[in-house]
Parts: sequence; structure tokens; C-alpha cells
Amino acid sequence: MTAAPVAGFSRPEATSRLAADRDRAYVEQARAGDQTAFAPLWERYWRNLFAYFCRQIGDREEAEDLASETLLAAFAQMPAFRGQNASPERPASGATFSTYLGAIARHKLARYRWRRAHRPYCGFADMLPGQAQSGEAAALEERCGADVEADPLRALLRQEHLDEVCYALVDVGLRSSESFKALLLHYLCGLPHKEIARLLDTRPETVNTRLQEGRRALLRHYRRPQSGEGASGRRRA
Amino acid sequence: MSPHGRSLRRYPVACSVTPPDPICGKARADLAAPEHFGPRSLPLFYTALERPPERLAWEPGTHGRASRILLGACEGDGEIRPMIATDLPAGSAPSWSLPGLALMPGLLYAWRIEAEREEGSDAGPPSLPCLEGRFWLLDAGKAARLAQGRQILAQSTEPEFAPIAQALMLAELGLYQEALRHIQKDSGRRVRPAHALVGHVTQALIYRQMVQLLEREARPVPPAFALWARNREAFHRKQAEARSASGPGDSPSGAAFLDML
Repeated sequence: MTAAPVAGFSRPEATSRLAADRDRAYVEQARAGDQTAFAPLWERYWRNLFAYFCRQIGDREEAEDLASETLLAAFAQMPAFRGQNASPERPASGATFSTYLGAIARHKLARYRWRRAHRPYCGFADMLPGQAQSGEAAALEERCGADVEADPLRALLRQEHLDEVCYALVDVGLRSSESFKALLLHYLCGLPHKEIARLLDTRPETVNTRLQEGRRALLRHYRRPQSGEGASGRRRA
Repeated sequence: MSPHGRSLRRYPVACSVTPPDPICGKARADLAAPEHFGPRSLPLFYTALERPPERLAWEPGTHGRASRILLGACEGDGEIRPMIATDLPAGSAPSWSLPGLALMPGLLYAWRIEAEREEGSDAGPPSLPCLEGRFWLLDAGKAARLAQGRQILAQSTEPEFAPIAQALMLAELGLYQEALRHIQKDSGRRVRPAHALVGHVTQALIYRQMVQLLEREARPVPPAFALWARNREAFHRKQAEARSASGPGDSPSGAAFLDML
């Protein structure tokens, strides 16, 4: 899939060049394992992503979710991001961080629409560290809309990814029961915020907060050092 | 306890916390040991119910002796105001079909089974504690939430995690017995270790909610109930932590996946 510009990410050339330079520095730090570099990237892009998803789907809560998921997925897959190949002559070419984010955002949007049209699905499967090995965003986009049930290998991989999600969820659940409930109902059962709020007798805003906390906990889970070769991508302290 | 026919196993005695005699000391030790309450132990004795129970059933802990069963409203001081009682002869099945009872939603009810003392014996048999349970019926507001929740889950839940989602919803309403039944009924299908762990965490969470309710509402319930629920929570947490820390364990490796293909 070609990387068409995502509305809200295009800038004048000079500004774009400066932004790309700054991004590259933060990205390099992040790739070197410095997690503090995520914060400025998050601050810089979250609002643009949120606005983009709002325009596309018209639901603020879902847009917040998708914006956060996009950034989390980008961070989780940072080792696979080939930002160093960006050409100095064409700083806003396909290898800049913003373009990379745009590709993930489009993938997220397509996947969101697909799952709304077909069935609930496991939403944060593509935050899994195993997928970081798979490489480019294009490969992720290619997965969009694929019928995993029709392909036994894909079905097995999906099951393996689901296992990873369950392990991560257990890790969160042992620390915070509220985040565990929100994550499970939202991502594994495909329920929107409003319905989760009804089930748990709370407000949608509270569900949103618990989901954000849960996503942060998941991110911490994935950022832990990996123990053992046979851990299949699981990360443990 | 299970008003809907679940068996009661290794029920921790409710009368064993205060008196300092050897029997109660042993019972206290049992209560303090989480491993005592294994996965087969399912005394669901503190729970909301959707409708009045039709049958009470329990683990045959009275060893075939004659026993007396009592059901009534729970007074503020913890005493049971009897509504209905019956004597079961020795060798009876460990269950009791209840006649239609007019129970008030929201009120706390209690039931108790006591083994009859042997003739000529002043002291009761030392190894036969009384079995005791508490329940209440959902009020109209919570019943409406339950109906709404079922509707939501019927439309939206992915089948793989449906029982766990159901259980979470039921536990929010205090329907702990039904919540645990959903998870345990489905446990045979969760053959993958990762899914089993999610089941353990969910059960720990349900018992945690039970403890919180016991602490919050200060109902006239013996302290052993909360202790039992804490033990159950600790048991499931321990299961989840132990297996989670040991890694995927017997889940197939990449090579095994290729073999399977």
C-alpha cells in the first residue's frame, strides 16, 4: 500500500525539515533504548492523530483510543523503523517518523473499520513485540482484512499473539483489577466505552482513564527485558 | 453453599474463629492455608441471587449423620430468624428442595446445616462443623442492570472470552456464585495456559470484590467469610503468578507449530 499523506501531517517544507530533524534525534534515542524520548514524540503527534481519527470516524472516545494505540504500536515497533534510511534531499519522504506514524494510523483506521464491519477482535494484538520483528508498516497493512481463519498458519499465529496478549493482561491484572477489566472488555470482547461503563456501573470517562492506565501498564510490560530465548517474545522482569 | 445445587467442598467453619479450643484451632489453621482451598473447593455461600433458591446443596461433610437445616432472615446481631427448617435423617442426600419462599430483595438471608449430636453424647462431634451461607436477592435496579448487561454481551462479545466477560459483569452485581460458575464451567475449554491464567486472575478479582463488599457493608456475617474469600483470592493469585512467572510452559514452540502444520 503506498503511503498517501495523512491529513494533518503535511507541513510547509522548512517546518517539515526542522520537525523531521528533531524527530530523527528522538527516534534515534528511542531506538537506543531511551524511553524518555517517547514523551516528546507523544506530545507532538497525539493531538494530530486524534484530530485525524476524529475526522475519519466521528467518535471522540474511539479516536482517543486509536491515537494512543497508533503511538504505542509505533513505539513497540521502533526497532523495525528504518528512519536512518531517510534521504537528506527528501526529509519528508517515506522514512520519516511522521510518515511511519501515518502508515500505522491508516492501518489502525482500516482495521477499526474492518472490525466494526465484521466482528469484535483483539485490538492490541499488533502492539505485540513479536510483530516488531516482522518489519515494515507495509507488512502490517498487508495484514489488514486478511481472513485468518482461512489460513491455518495465520490462525496459529493469531492464537500465539492472543496468548501474548493474555500474558500481558495477566501481568496488568495482578497489579490493577480495574485496568484488567477495562482492557479485557474493550480489546478482547470488542465493547465500546459506553457499554463497558454500563456493565461496570461507571462513567465512560472513567473507562477511558482505566484504559489509558492499562495501556501504559501494557507498554511497561512489553518494555521489560526479555528473559530466556524460548520466551517467544514475552518480556519479564 | 450453593442454593442452585453446586457442591460445597471443604467448607471453612463459620464458628471456629473465636473460641480457643483445639478444634477451632485446627479450623483456624485450615482457614489460614490458601492451598486448603483448591480449585475444587467451591463453597459459594456469600452471594446475590437473581431469584429465590429452589434447592440447597452441600458437600456431604456430615458423614451421613442426621442433620438439621435452617433458613431464615439474618438479624442485625447475626442471629438467624428462622423461616423454614427441616430435619434430614441419616444417610439422606446432601440437598434440600425448598418450597416457594417469599423473599424480599436486598434483605440478607442465612442458612445453616448442623449435624445432629449422637445420642448420649454431650459434646458435638469434633470434626463436624456447621455449614453456613448468606445470600440476598437482587433488587429491581440491579435486575434491570443485569438484563441490560446480558443484552450488551449477547451482541458484542467474542465467544472465546464471553464467559469471562459475563463473570465480570455478574460479579459487579454481587452475583458471585453465578460469576464463578461461568468461569469454572468454561475452564475445560481454556486449554491454552495463557487463557487459563486469565481465568485465574478473573477469579481472584471476583473474590477480591467479595471481600470488599464484606468490608464495606458491615453486614452481620461471621469473620470467617471474609477470611475464606481472601484465601480464595490468594489461591488464584498464586496460581496466576506462579504460572505467569514460569513462562509459556507447555505451550507449543515455533518448531512444534511447524510440526502441527
